[in-house]
Amino acid sequence: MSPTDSNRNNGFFATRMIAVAFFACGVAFLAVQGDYPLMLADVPGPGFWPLALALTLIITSFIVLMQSIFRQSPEVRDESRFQRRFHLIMVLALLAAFPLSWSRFGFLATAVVFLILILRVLTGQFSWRAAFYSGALAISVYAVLRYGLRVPLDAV
Amino acid sequence: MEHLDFLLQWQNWLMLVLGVILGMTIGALPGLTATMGVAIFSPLVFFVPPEQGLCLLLGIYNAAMFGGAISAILINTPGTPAAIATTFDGYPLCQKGRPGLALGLSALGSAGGGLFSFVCLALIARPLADLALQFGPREFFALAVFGLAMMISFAGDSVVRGVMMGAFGLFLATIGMDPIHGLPRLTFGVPELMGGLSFVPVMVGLFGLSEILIRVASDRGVAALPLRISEDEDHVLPTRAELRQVTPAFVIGCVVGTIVGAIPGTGGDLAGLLAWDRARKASRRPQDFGKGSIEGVVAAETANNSVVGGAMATMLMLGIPGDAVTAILIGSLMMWGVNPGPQLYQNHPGLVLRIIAIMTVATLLSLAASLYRTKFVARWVLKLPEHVLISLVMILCVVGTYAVNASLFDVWVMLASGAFGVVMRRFKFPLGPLVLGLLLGPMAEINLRRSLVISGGNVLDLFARPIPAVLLGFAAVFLVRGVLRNQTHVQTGDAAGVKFTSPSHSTAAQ
Repeated sequence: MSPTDSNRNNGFFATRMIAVAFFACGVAFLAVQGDYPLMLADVPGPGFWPLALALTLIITSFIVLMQSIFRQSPEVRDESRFQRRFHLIMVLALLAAFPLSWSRFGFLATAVVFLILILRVLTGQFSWRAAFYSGALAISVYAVLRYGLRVPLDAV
Repeated sequence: MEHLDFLLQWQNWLMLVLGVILGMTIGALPGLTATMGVAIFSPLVFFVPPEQGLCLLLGIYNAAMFGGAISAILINTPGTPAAIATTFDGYPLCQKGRPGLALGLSALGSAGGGLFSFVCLALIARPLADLALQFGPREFFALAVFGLAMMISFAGDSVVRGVMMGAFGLFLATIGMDPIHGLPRLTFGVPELMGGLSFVPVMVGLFGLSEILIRVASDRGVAALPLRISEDEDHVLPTRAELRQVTPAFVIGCVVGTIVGAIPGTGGDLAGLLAWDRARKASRRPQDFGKGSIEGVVAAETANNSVVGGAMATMLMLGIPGDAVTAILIGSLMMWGVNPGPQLYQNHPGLVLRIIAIMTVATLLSLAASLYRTKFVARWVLKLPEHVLISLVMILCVVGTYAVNASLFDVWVMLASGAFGVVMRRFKFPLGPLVLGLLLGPMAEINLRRSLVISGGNVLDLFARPIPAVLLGFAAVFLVRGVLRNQTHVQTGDAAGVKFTSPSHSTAAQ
């Protein structure tokens, strides 16, 4: 199998997964739909509009799923934009860790460490210059938001 | 004239100048769009008075359109999707050793197009508002459906995917309190969801963070600047003969851009492509297009700036955003207690005039900045290290989102939206309909339910009045046309959708 075929198959698989996720979202609403009455005092109730949307989601996601199964033409994607997937995963992990550590260690310390680690991932190396830049940027952002805009950064 | 007093305050001018500098920088950097710039800074403007905030956001919006042409002309990479058509002739003109003329013409075309569209906005705003005042629930529901249908038919390669994303956006908008009965819906006991999903974190995630995450995943750096400034350096302003030559292209750009801008769901990229194509067909030298035609540069740049006035008209008077940037601006206006729509003239007299004044000043400042040492700015901006830029944008996304409500929950929503945005862009699920669905959801739901109450549950009553019938009819026609176009592209294998869209730019068009 050529790399192009592999990419195409991966693309179809991912599209199917996305379609299934949207389908599940619509079905999940149908499961809890009983909590939201369709009619209340003879006028459309809280469940009316979400039910219509859930049905639309189910129908359209089913069509997308069928299209990805039966479509013959290749899905066109720009593969060169996603070569560095490891970097993406690492950056996402760091982004998720940032709010978690923020409430524990305070904004300034967390932001400095976050920026140093982000630069380490992006450039592939540690440098004192990057550390200096991280510190300067974090202090600048902190000063502007905390004292200029009075955002309670430490009140998390 | 008392509505223009705000221009006498230095703080507003400071914000305008700051907005123009930020916008030019953001626009010139490939990968950073006007939408992203406005999305990143929209949370921060709630800490300043609305006029200052508007000066900053509108300054960014306007200047980013100018800045997008810089990298399009100098390194053949559109700084914003709106500058895609500018690359067709801008870069070849640069390669011919005339970067100064290309940048000068693009700046003049952008300013002329922008100013023309503001005049149109001033002329049509009041009649449009008067017309919209006669709208009832049926009309507003039809308008919301029409806006969504237009966005779906223009965004992406598949109408079905567009409808799915639009329905998902509308579905997300149902989270929170039911707007009529006041019962909590889909909150799952999470107190932060009682007020619904905040619009700003979702916007910052979808348009700010996801753009930068895609850039992290990409192995394309910013190309080295191949700029050779020749003896042509001082020839930034065109000669009279050149001005005569580009006048028809300028007029085409103005008209196409303003009309396209007023259609919900479109944007500068589509306007630029259409105007470039129209100008080529109307030109006496069509063979020069794509090889460095000055008419091509002017048509594209004029059109992508002319959309601003049209997009603002539908946003302010009807509450329907013309493009992604105006969708974010609606969110910002709502946070300041300003609800765009037919009541805007009554509730906030002078706001439209203020916005037009801010846009005009921002355009003139951007023109001055573009004509004065553009190449110096370009050289500085394009040499900014990529990792520095990425880290800066990330920290701004996080703290900006937190700043709005001092809530970490919003930061989590932003991160989730960013990751979701990356996956959706990767597999070509359009984000535009989702955003519009999220924004128009409450309007569509309330007005549909009110219409059904008025008509005693008769859905066909929606078609009983002319305006809703016409709007719903047009919505259906555009969706069917989109489906047929998709079918044709699938059969011919033309997935880009626009015949002159370069493959390397197709992702930016999302």
